[in-house]
This record gives sequence, C-alpha cells and structure tokens, in this order.
Amino acid sequence: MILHIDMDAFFASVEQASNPRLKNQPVAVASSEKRGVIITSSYEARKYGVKTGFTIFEAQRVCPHIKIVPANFEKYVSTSKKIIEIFKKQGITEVFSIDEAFIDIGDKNPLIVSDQIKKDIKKNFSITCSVGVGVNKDIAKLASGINKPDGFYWVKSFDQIKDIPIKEVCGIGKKISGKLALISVKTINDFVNIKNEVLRSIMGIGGIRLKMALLGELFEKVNPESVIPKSVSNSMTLPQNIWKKEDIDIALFQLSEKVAYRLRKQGLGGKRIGVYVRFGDFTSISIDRRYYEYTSDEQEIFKRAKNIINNLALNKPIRLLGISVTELSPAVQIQIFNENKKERIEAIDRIRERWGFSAITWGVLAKRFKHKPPISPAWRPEKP
Amino acid sequence: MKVIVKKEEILKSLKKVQGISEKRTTMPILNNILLEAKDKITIKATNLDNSIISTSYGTIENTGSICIPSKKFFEIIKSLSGESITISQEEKNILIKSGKSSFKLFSQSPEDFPAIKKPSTDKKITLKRADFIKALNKVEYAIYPDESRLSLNGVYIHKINEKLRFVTSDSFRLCYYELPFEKEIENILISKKGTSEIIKIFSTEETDNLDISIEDNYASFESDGTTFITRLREVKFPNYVEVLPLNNPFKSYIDKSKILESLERLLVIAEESTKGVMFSIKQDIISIKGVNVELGEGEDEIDHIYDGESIDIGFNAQYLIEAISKAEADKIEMSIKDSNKAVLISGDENYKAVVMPIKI
Repeated sequence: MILHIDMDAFFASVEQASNPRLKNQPVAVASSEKRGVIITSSYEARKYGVKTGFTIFEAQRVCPHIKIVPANFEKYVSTSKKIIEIFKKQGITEVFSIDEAFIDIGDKNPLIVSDQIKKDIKKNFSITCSVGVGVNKDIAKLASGINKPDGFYWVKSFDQIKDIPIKEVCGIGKKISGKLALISVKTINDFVNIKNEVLRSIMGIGGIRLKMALLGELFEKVNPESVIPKSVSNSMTLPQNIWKKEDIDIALFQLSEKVAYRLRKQGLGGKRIGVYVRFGDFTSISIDRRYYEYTSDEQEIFKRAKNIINNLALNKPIRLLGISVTELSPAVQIQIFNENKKERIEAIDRIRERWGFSAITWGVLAKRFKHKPPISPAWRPEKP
Repeated sequence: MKVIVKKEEILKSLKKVQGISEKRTTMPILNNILLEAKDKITIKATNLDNSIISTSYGTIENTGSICIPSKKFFEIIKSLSGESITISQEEKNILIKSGKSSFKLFSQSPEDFPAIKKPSTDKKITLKRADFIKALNKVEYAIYPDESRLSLNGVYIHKINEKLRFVTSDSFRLCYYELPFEKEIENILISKKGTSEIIKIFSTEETDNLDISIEDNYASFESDGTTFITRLREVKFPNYVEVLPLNNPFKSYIDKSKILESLERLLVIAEESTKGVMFSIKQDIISIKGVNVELGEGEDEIDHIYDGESIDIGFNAQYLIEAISKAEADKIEMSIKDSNKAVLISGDENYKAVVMPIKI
C-alpha cells in the first residue's frame, strides 16, 4: 500500500507550535512582513475566508484580528527534514514537497502505520497531518485531501473516488480541466470513461497514464531517488514597485543567479524558461518559452528571461517578478565549446559551497534587491 | 498588366516561393508575392531575411506588376482545371481566368513591396548544384535549432586545404563535409532557415550548375531561372578547429549498419530526456546498455576491431545515430580518448563528425 502524508497548513502549524500565543488563533504566514502575500494560513484563519495569495491587507480585511507571521523558511526546512526521518522508519519514502511525501509501506497495515506517524509527529512537533491510502501514488494523494485536517482516508475501491471533481486530481491544471469540461467531463468517473484516443489528444500519454492510475491499474514505484523536481523557480516581491529597465534587469539577474545555483546543486539543467510578472495593481502575466539547450547557467537563464520579458507589454509598475525553469533533466551532456565558462562557474560554486551563497556574486548585482527568498513547492531535502 | 501562363509552369514557381512568403507577420505586405511582367514573367517573395526571384514562362500581353496574397493565389491556381490561365489587372483588382472559372482578388500596391537586394554577380562562383545540395544535406542535422545562439544557428562554409568545408554544430556535436574547391570564397554563415530553403528550392532543379554570389552580407544562389537571396549571419562561427579531436589515440572500426541497428534498439528504452546509452568498449567487443529508471534496461553487443584501452563512455544515442548515418562507407572509424572527451567519427574522406559524450 502507498501512503500519502500531507502536513496540515504546514508553515502556519509550525509557527503555532513554536509560539503558544498563536495556538488556536487565526494565523497567516506571509512572504514578508510589510509587502508580502499570504503563503499559507491556519485552519482558524481559513474559516474567515483567508486564502493563499491574499495580500496582508486583504487578509486583515476579512479577519481583522489575524496574526501575521513573516515566513521563516529555515525553520520549516529543518522541521520538514526531521519529519521525513519519521516517514523513513515506516517504508521507502519519496519526498514530494516540503510538506508532502509518499511512503511505500509494503504489507503493513495502513491504519497502524498511519496512527504511528501521526503520534510521532504530534509528540515531537505538535502538528497534525492528513494521511491518504491507496494502491498507487495518485490514489493516495487524492485520498489525503478527503478528510483534512488531521484526516485519514483509505481508498479501497474505485467507487469511493468516482464522484470527485477531476480538477482536484494532481496533474489536472486549469487548462486541461477547461478542455475536459468542453467534452462534459467533470468527475473522475467521467474521466476514466474517455476513450484513450481522445484522452491522448487532450493531454498526451500522461492522460492515459493518469486514467490507468485512477482505475488502480498502474503501480508506479515510490522512488526515493525521484528527486528530479518538476521545476526550479524563484520569485520576489520587490521592496518597492519598479519600472525602469535597469531595475528589472537587476531583479531578473538576481533571480537567475539563485535558480541557476539551485539547479547546479542538484546537477540539473532545464529547457523551458518561464517569467512571471505581477504588477502593482495585482494583475499578472506569465509566459514561458522552450529552448534547445538544457541550461543551469545564470547568464544564459538571464538572457532567456530577458528575451521573454522584452516581448511583454510592461506598461505598469512591477510588484513581483519570478523565474521558473522546467523540463529538467540531469545535466549530463558535455559541450564542445564553453570550457572556460564552465570552469568559472565551478569556481563560483566551490566558493559558495564553503562560505555560503552570498560570499560571491556578479558585478551587475552590486546593487541587488534585499529579499528573503520563499521556498519553492518543488523543495526537496538536499542530497548529501 | 496581362499575362497568359500555363498552369503547370506557374505552379512550379509558386511552390518555390511559398516557404518564403510569411504566414504571420507584422508587415502584411510580406504575405504577398510580386508578379512582374516585363521582358519576362518573374515572381518575387521576401521575408526580408530570405528572398526568392523565380522566372516563369508565358505570354505577356501588357507589361506591369501586381501584388497578390501568396497563399491564396497558390491555392486558386492549384484548384483551376484549365491548362491556360490569364492573369490581368483591373483597377485595384486582379482577375484570374481559366476556362469558365474566374476569380477577382483585391491587391495591394506593388510600390509597397520591399525592394530585394541582390548581390552583384561580378565575382560569382560556380559549383555543381548536386554537390552543394548534398553537402548541405549531410550537415544540416547538427545545426543549432533555435536562434538563442545565432553563431551556431546555420551552416558555416569556408575554404580550408583546397576544400570547401561545410560545418555545423549544436554545441553537443559538430560535423563537416568537404567538396574539392580551388577558387577563392569568403567565409559565410547561412542561417538555418536559409539552408532549408536552399535545399528545398534547388533539390528539384534540372540544371547542373549553381552560381553563388556574395556581397555586403548577402549571398545569392542561382540556378535555372531561380534566384534565392539570403541574409548571412553577421556573427562569427566559433573557432571549432581547435576543438576537433584529431589526435584521439584509440581507434575502433565498426560495421555501420550493425551499430545503427543496435542504437535504434536501445533508443527505445533510453531515458527520454537524455537518450543516454552506455558503451563499454573492450578488445573485439562493444557492449551497449540503455537504462531507464522507470522502465528497465536493455543491452546489446557488437564486434569491432580495436587496439586501445578498455573505456566506458556514455552517449546520447540519437546524436550518434544521426552522426553515423550520414557517413557513406560501410565501416566507420570511431576515435576515442577517454570517457569525458570528444569522439571523432569518420565515415569517408569527405565527412567527419564529433560527438561529445555524456557524463557517467
């Protein structure tokens, strides 16, 4: 059996656990104290309608006595690492994000294992989690969402999930669910009844894979080594809105530098570069483009991001900028040219390995924006 | 303007220009072709980087020039059933008549059509058309596919050791093909798009020769009444000669068809993103392995003649297949240094390919 463990309102719960005054209070974790947006909120806050993505102002409007806590990612990462150790005692563990993991528990009784995990986490960290059980990862992930918070749900037959809206399934985004709605596919049951040819034309081979998984016919392994994330991205809310080209360049390079470093640390490169822009009036645009070469080089990522942003109509001040690199693959292909550049980048990485990320940077970033980086949903514990 | 043309004749010209006239563009005039009737009938199309001038045969009753939407004009001509087609101008409209069918198309002013810059043919170089096309066909596969690296996004042609060498590289592999050549020529870098148009346009011509003229960063190619003009890349192709692994010490002689079959088989299982296969090269035998974390693995063995050390080396199988399949000889020579260094593939005298390994 496969377990999917999803920590309940993880960042907010960690804050509540470490500060007794926040217990049972509506709490929201914001990306920064002043200009940030809400990253997550406690269940008490959610009752008032506080949602991820709200500005602090919006959150305070719906819940005037809400406690805003600036995010402390080091704390979440260190808690997450310890929790992963608890999972590993129960079976092969695949970390899915900072607050989610799959565990293959083999023939063990899911009820007993789940109880043990919940007890261990509660005892050590005073926080709760929801557990989903299924024959494969897709079903387990769906199940953990059914009884949140502090839930447990075991999917034993297809009937239990058949009426769930298809858009709630991991891997069905807005674009695809929109296309599915056009052919009147709303529930999981509707989805598994789509003919394979149709499904393939809508979402490729992945659609057929998902159909089999939902029917319980696919048994993909829980893979502790499947640490190739889907994307590596970084974004920042700027200390003040910007519109000058020079400032945009600095912000983009700063993001590129971070993303590139994280890619290299994981030995990855990416083909698709995306740029996300949120304007002062909270409208936003995002655009991505696919390139031929996998890259993990900040100058290249910056060049591509700049190329993309140059094609956007930036007619309003910018509040937030983000860069994502997707279509990742292990950076294994050796290049013919570029030898010198490679040595230069390796030297930078060695310095950072020893003295930290900020020990060395590029001249163009002498005037960098102050920014505490948020954590990517694709966060994984680093390889030793 | 009024001309009478044979359907078959004009279609031949229109087919050639379709690739040049833009489908989507911020300059709508570039969706058009310019049909000129002076002492002969010519059809011109341009997207500013690449242009074509094609001569067609027919009877000119009145001289003049008109601008017609390229795609629609092509489709209309193709759909007509008559042999003979009359194209004429009536105020701002273009009339196309054949048998009992007639079309009236709105036209744009021919004055708006951009002038096509044509290099002077004073210093033209004449090459065998088939040889030139063959050379481009041999090396086209390794062109860097997008314009994020302009210096590699084309075919680099230069003279070296009394040969005309055609070089391409996508930074993971490189290849070149040579033609005997005694004259002088400037070094040129023809864009990827230009290259594929040249191949398309001149592969079907019947004349033997191709005239090449170069001037002010434009090159023209002319054969059998068709002239193609391309804007050359102004960036420099990297200094590739210094990275050619001409002194690799270990040489493996392999049957070309055997290694290709083997690689095709393993490509089925290789990881989608890297297409990686592992070579374990020993005396007499190479074992090749493809591993896929999610699916499983595959293995194959081929014999070869080898005098070097045992080496384990990984490759993108697709790159090797493409590099090897362009060689004409039955046996290929693969020269190797170690697991991290470039491998040189020689198929015949005129063709060489360099493939970079993947890390293992």
